[in-house]
Amino acid sequence: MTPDRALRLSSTILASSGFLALALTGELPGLLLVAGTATLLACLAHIAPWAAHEPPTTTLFRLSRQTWNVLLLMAFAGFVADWLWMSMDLLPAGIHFLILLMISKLLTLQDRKDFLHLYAISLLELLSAAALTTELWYAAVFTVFLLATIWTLLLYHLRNEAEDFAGARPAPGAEDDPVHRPGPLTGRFFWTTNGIAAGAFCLTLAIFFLTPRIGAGFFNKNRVEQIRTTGFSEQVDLGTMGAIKLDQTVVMRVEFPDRQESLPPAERLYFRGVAFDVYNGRSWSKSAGERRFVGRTTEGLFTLASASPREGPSGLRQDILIEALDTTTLFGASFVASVRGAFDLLRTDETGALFLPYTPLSRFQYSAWSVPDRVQDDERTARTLSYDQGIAEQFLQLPDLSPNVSALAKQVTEQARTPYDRIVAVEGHLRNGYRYSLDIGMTASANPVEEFLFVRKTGYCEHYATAMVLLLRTLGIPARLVTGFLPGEWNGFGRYYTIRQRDAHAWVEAYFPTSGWVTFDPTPSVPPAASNQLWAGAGKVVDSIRLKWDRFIIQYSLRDQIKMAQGVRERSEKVQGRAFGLAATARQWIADLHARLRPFMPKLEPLWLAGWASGLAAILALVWTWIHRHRRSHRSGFATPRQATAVRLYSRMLQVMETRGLVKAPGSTAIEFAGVIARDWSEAGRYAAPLTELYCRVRFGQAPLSPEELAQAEALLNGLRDLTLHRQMEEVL
Amino acid sequence: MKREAFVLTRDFTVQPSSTLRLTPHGFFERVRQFFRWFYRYRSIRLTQDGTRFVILTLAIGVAAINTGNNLLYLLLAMMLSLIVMSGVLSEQCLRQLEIRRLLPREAFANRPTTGGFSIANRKPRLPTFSLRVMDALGATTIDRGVHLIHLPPQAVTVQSYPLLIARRGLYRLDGLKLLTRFPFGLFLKAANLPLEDELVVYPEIRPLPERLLHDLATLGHEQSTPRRGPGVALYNLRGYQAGDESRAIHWKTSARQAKLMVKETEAEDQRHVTLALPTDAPDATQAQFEQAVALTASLAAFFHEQGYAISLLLGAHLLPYGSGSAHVHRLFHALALCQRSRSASSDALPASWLTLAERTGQGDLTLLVTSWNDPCLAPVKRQVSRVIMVAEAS
Repeated sequence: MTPDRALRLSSTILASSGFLALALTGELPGLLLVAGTATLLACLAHIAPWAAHEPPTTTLFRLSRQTWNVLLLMAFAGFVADWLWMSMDLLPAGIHFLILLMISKLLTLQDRKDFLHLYAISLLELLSAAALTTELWYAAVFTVFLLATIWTLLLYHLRNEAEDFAGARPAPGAEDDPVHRPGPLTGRFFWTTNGIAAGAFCLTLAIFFLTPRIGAGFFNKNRVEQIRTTGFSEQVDLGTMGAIKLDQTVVMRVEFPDRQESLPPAERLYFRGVAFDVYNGRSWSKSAGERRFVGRTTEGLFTLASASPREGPSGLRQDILIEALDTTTLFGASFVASVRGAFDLLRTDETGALFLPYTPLSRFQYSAWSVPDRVQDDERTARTLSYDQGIAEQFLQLPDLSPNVSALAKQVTEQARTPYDRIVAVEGHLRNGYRYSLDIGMTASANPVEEFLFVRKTGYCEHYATAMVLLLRTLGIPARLVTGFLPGEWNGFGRYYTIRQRDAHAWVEAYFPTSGWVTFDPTPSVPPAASNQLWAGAGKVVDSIRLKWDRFIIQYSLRDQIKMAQGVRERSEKVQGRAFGLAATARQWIADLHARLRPFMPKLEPLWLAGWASGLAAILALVWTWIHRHRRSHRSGFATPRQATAVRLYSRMLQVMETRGLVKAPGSTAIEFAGVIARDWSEAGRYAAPLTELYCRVRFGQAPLSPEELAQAEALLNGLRDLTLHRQMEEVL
Repeated sequence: MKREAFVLTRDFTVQPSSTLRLTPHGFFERVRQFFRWFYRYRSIRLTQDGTRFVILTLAIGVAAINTGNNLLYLLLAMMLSLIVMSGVLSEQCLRQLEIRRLLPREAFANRPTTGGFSIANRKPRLPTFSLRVMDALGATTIDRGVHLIHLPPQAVTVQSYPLLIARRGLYRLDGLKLLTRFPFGLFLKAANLPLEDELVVYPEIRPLPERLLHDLATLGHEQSTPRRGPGVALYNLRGYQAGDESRAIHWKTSARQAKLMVKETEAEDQRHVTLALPTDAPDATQAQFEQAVALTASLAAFFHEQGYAISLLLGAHLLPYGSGSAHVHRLFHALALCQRSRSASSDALPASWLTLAERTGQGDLTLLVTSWNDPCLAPVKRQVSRVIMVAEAS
């Protein structure tokens, strides 16, 4: 492939990657998407290596420069109109205008400035995409863009250099000299350029991680679409959660950095969101809407009243990467004691639910520390429990219910002697006596819970949890309904839980005067639907990469940099400690040796030691030299380094001959080639013949070579070089 | 042109030196000294494209800081990495190059000749791209138009350029300047290499006026007397005598006359010419003095072609008679380096000038070339064969 064709190809790939980045954001209108794609495909077909014609002399689309200018002016007017009246936003309007500019440049790619403009447009496209997305595909597009950039800039530079040289009116015939024009792309050039791209990629990552994050966020506009959730607002209608139980959208990913080996059992993990206390027969709500701010330590740790801020975070740590949900609720395993995240304020209500002061506009990460609930033994066995009046009033509230509910509660707990046993009995009854199903029909019922308990006996988590709360309250046990998420799917590759919309769940918290609120879940566990193992595995791998992308690229922050610096310092201290330990051991060893050798060298201690050290160094040097030589000769396949050198000298002779246009044909032997040299250039034949003879002896006869013979071979090669140089000079002059 | 026409001057290998001397003035001082040492031969500046690139990078940096968007930081890192790669690769491009300056053995003022560079890439694997080689003369650089796009590893190339030097004298070159915009054309990196060379530029050889040539021919003929002796031109044919060299036998005549005949050659009786150029001249006559030097050199070249033995009286210095290329080059060399004396005139002529009258008396051709009418030379003018004023020759 010629360099010019390669330049056009790489330029088009560069533009394609910029366009692809914008297209994948989903912000491009269909018309521009089709027009851009068609133009890029036409350009690629025009430049493709298999295309017969030579592209550089022609543009894809011929219109006069004036016509293009008029079209561009119209496009600009369209951009202004788009900005002011249609999109009413600079970014979408700018993106539309960029696509039009790209199409224009692709169709008229001719001069240097056309290429430069196209590169700038492509970069702006990638830049715009960066403001519109945080998805994993951006990594792939960015990698392709970087590779294409290296190729393009390199080829663009070489083309300019060749043009500059041609413009400098060189001596006649100089244009044909390979040193004055880039020749066809060779394998060496291909790999060298890819090597440069790989180096640039590594350097990019290094600079990315080391650049201080001092973002002020003045003009940050995040356009990520929020995920709609159900069950975490002030009032939740019974039955609304069923709509999202089939939604596969990922809402959270949860890691347990401190518990990599012994993970908490999934059946005991409930990522708690909001708790409700008032049920009116059709919907749940909260009686007290009072929210207070959570105190924050200087280290940025929000600590709830139940935990001690002085002791630092304790309990089960979870690193939660949460998508942009349309709720201010923060989730954490029951019961959250401390939270740390990139937010300045945090609020809580009396049920322990956590709220951000604003709805998050983008995916973000935070850490939560949770203390699990547990019923104390005395309360587990206590026949009666006395509750505060406030608790009783708030969490024993009941809507108008038929006597059947109360009768059912008494019937179920007939055998139970303690409040705890009654709770467990109700839980067991619901788990075992009812069928879990999302298909409960759309018929409107006056009392959906009673319908669930006595008629249909089929429902999902909301029905189970509501029924249990009502049954407990009829028995005089304070209880409330809690909404949140189950752990979801375990990703073994990334060692984290992937929580989707379908994992939204409702469960029950019952109150114990000393133990506090304790979690109970009356919903029977439902086996996950069978899926293709291969696809599921691949999906987990991709999701794991996505988490890493989010964790280390999108969410990378100053805090991570500080942590990294601390890690480096700790490791260096460890290494330093080990080095000191080794030095101490060595000193001890030398002291022991010295003590043992003392009887044998009573007077010449320093001299003896110096002698030993020198001897040891000399032996090590000898061994190193021997290994080095052995490796080198072994690598080249020859018994001695001299033989390898002789073969190398012969290959250099071939290179020298090549500069004079004498190329050894692949099928010819060394002797035949020496004959060709003697025939075509008799002066060189005087050097080439003995060198070839020497080479044949070594290469095919494995003959040993004396230093004199090697020196002779070098002299022959030098003579040949001098001869070539003089011939070149003669030709030049 | 033959190889002998060139002299291979000193070569310079661009390699990282391993002999670094650091004085113990603290760590930062050492680092500073190291960088000063390392970059003593380097300079770098932005190209037009590079300026645009840097402005774009700064804009992305500002956007990244303002938004805190890590993807913008990623783009910023990419742009910065391209800048760093530019520095690394351009440095690699300029390393391990072996450059020899090829200057001609002789050069005359205002006569085009050919100079050259032998450029060898000694890197084992990496090629060198986009290399310009220039001569450095003091603070200025002279672009010879030597521009390589691609030099493969272990390859050598010879690049020539036309060399035209306007003035006689010592032409001194201080160093080389290597320039590259590789790999992306964002920066122009220069390596300044100390590679000193000197070339003695002979005075300009100009064609002599017809009238002067006629006079010189007349004067020359008055001196010549044909006689037998070693030479090339045929003097006589005679019969072979014992002791004659077999090489002297003229075979055609021998065959025609059926007896051995030998040829005798005409002795090339060396005709002698002395060129006298006074160096004392007032400041105002510097241009005329230069013309006088050029005229003297032109006369020397003329008489060299005529086979004369030439002597040069240059100021107080007398170069004795001699002939052949080596001798005439010695004369050119002396003329190339001679300088005008500041004194306007002197009452006493140097002793060497007194030999002119004696030489003229012996029948030698003596020519006085003068740039101005020096009254001090009045007695000398009467003693020489011919006085040539610069104005006459121009």
